[in-house]
Amino acid sequence: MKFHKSFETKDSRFVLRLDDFTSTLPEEYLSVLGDITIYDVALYNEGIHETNKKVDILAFKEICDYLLSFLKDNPKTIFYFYCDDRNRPPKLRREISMQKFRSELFHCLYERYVSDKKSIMEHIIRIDDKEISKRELYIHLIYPALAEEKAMELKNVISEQASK
Amino acid sequence: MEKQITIVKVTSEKGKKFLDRLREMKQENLKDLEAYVNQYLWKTNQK
Repeated sequence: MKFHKSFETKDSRFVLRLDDFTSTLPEEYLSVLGDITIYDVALYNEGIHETNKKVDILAFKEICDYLLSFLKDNPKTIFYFYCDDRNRPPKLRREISMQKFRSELFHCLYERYVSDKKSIMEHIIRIDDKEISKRELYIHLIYPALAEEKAMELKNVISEQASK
Repeated sequence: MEKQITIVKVTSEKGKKFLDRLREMKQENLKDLEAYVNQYLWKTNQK
């Protein structure tokens, strides 16, 4: 199942997609999830290729509010944010990778917009693949407290698979 | 509240392949989203 929602402010147009990720996961994940649904969260910014485009904080607030209200309405949900490497970080942050930049951004948004951190939780998985592929990956799991046990099982599966 | 983080180290080709698969899944989702947006914008522009 896929949900699309667009957000338009004076300066930006974003399209957010929640994509049911559960069915595309390998067997080893499905066995631990039970009735939990995982959504891959993807965001398309129409102005992303314009280098001078500033981040529209109002649009981000609106997107975060929507995601939080989705979790409140669907407590058996885990949001899966894979920090991808498309594009480059802004000029002032060129010393870090795009993945790390996105990870820091997600965490800042969580800190800023989630007021009750016992109800909506965040867990970050940092995968050090420098030895083999010279890269570092970040996956953020955001979930309501009700899904905490399953989110930790999912985290364990990802960690085990990555460190095999 | 303290940042909740798990750090994992990849030490073998098996782990690398698993990460490649996760990256591919994300790339496909992003491509698919881009195609959706282009179609949506195209339709809007036709009106």
